[in-house]
Amino acid sequence: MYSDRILNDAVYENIPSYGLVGRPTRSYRTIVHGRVSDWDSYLKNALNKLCGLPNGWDGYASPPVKFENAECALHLLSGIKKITDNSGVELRKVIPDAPYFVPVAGGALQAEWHLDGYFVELFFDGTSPVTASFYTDDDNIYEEFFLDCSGAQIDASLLIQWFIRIYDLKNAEQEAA
Amino acid sequence: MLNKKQRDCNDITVPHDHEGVTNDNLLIRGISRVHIVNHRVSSAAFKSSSDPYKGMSIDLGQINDARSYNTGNYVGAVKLLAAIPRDKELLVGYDPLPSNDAHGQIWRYDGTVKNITGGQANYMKRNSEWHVEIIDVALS
Repeated sequence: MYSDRILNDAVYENIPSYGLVGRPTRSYRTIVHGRVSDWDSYLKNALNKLCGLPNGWDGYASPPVKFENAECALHLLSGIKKITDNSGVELRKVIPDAPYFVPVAGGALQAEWHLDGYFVELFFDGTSPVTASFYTDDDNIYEEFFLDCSGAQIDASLLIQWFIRIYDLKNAEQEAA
Repeated sequence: MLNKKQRDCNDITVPHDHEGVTNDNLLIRGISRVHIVNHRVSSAAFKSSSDPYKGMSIDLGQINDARSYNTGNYVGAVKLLAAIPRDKELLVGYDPLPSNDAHGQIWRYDGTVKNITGGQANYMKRNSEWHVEIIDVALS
């Protein structure tokens, strides 16, 4: 897969004081190389930045985002981008741009889309399947499911269905206004 | 002064609901700059950590009376009543650290370790108020 090729191109630069979980004998900063598009560039820059956060970034002694979580996010989101690129115009309209990334204490990672009062979040913590959630500010909608990203193939169809629903809901709101 | 609770063989506090933290006690959560996206505090600030018991760190307001939340790693802080996480069957406990005697944790634990769910995180976020406000940032 394309995302696998990106990850295989990852190089590790020995820089003291930056952590990378899973390589306990040395300290590294991760730099991911690969073919560049705006989306790819954004993902890599954002994820590399979060993997390079200083220890204690949250004020509660948290380590930076673990490489395995960043890798999983890159794998999943590159897959979604690939779906978008291979889709017709109709589907391209409903799939939003790349999400925001937020570190979570302990090395976990959250990707989140803010879509005019609708929110879609992906929670990567490395020890369990990715948790996907869809909700509104007023909590009238709250849905959740788990995504298994352990294999080469990821079934993101439920996630895509959420984006289609949000697109339809926003259109209905505009028509009603 | 709250009594310390049992620690495991790795010297990590075992999840518990502390009887000395009453429902009307305030819990304070420092907010880091990276928890802010699109002018909003992310729900990620209310999620489990990846520590062995998947706790969410807070400071107990009844102990903490002088900590600064707009310097260093923090750009602000939120506060919520201890009753709020308990409404969602989360535990509120005391877990003092060498560097922070007011440190506590919120756990989702019923004998097995679980992540705080997105719904629980959003409930805590929606029922929080500013303790130290961050200008131009919405809490909910």
